Amino acid sequence: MKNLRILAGILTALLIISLAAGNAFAAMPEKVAQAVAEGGVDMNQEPGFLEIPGAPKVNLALAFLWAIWVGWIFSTVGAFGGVMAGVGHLTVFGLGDYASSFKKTNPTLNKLITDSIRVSNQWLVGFSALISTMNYYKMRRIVVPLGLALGSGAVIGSLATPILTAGKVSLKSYIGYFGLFTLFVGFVLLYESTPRAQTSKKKAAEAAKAFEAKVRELKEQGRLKEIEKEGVRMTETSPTRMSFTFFGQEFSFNPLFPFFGGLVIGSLASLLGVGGGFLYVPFLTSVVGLPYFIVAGTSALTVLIGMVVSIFSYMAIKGIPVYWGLIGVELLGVAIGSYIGPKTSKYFPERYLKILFAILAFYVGIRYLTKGFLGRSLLPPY
Amino acid sequence: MSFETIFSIMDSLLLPFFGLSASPAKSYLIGVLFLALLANLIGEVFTDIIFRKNMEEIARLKAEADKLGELAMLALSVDNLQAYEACNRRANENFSRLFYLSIATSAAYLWAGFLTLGWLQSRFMGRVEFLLPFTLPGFPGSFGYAGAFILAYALVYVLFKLVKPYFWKVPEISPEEVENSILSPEEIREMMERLKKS
Repeated sequence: MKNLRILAGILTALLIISLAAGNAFAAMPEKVAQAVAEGGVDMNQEPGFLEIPGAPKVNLALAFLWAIWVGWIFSTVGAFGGVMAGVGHLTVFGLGDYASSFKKTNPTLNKLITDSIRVSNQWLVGFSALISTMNYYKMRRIVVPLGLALGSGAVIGSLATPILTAGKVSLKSYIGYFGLFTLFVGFVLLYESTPRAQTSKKKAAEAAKAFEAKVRELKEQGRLKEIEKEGVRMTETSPTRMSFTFFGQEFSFNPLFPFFGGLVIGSLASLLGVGGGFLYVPFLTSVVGLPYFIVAGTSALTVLIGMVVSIFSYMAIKGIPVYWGLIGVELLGVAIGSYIGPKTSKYFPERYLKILFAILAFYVGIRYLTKGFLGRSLLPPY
Repeated sequence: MSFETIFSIMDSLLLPFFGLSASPAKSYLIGVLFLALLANLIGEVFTDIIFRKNMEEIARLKAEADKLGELAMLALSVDNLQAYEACNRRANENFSRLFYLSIATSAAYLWAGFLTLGWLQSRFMGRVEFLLPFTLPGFPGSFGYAGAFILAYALVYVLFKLVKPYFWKVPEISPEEVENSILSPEEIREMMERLKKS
């Protein structure tokens, strides 16, 4: 029965996207045609990306190999894979340079390609969560008021960002914001590789192991049931304070916190074309202070809702086109990369991988940030 | 290799399925349904055969995260906040790895669907439109080539998920199978029952 409900939920999400796609694709030829009509395009050239005459024809072998790299990072380091997916669209496949070439001659086309890159990133990074999320719902528990507060913030952010920014963000600005985000990821990776973070991680592992041993001892003495109390119980629900007890421990939070958290993370994810999953989990555990048992299901649900709303807004409301075939080839590469990842990661210590990717994140971040906001990259290639 | 080369190969394999009826609309729908079946089948085969190892790793990580989550709950029940934070943190680390590995592995299922959409885009874009008998605010009154395919793909996906357990065994590892497991299946079941009731 639960599985049927999950499948019904997925079907509903896909139905909404199907209806959205109906509009997006009715509008797509006109949208591209309108942008192309503003000039700067040689109509005698062969069509390329988004069927635009003279646009780059993405090298499929390169796209496939780059996606393997992205998948490898996803399965070994995590969120940085999403950044690398964006780097592929912006730099490696030449779409960023192509869009930039219209900065003065055809700003509409410049922004249309930028929006297409943003929504393509979200399809590539976020949509796979639809299937993986299903697994978490089977086991996880969601505190409904928390889910509603976080989810409503994410929905507003994911709906408002495309409506307010589609057709308005130039490639230059997008690259600048993307660079800022990449730098932030770089700092997180660098912190995680410091001796302090490593020691703290080791201590947590030791403490968890010690507690496990203690529980095992109690179990052997037949006293395990003595220490258990109760599960989740809501004790207070008001617009400014929500409390629940969880195994005897009281948790409380102001629902405005998760609402604004959802709003900010949902808006950021939609603006940058990322999933946002790796921001929700630390936000709920570190800022709101909630336990894992509740966080996992709630964050997965919020990523899914935010992403469906964001893609719907870009495609259905703003008519932004997507080059499906490229996403298909990239997904195949990501899958193969994720297959290779766990097999090869044992040869690369996690700490050194994090240092390596932190350096890469700083390089990409500084390059994009300066190119986007200063007009010229401080690091090569200029 | 370019998309045009791939799409030309797909033309010779797939276009015959778009000519099975005298009615263009029916022909398109039959063709799209066949494509949805094919894309889902390729996704299933890729995920279940080639990525079985990943699915096992996902099941193991999930079981481990569940076990750590349960330990964190036990730590809370005895007011041992240090142990709670430690177990909770490790559960989150596992969840993070699980999340990204799951996303990447899910790509193995979806790629064929997206490639098919790419082919439909290059062959039918702007040529197919199904009018809906109703209108909803904010929604268009018609389906384009992609809308019909996505809906067919979703329907077949749901159908496959319902039928699959009878034909295919999905890897599953329970928390008690994880190394050094401390809770028996009965204890975990009991705990879950208590949680549901609360």
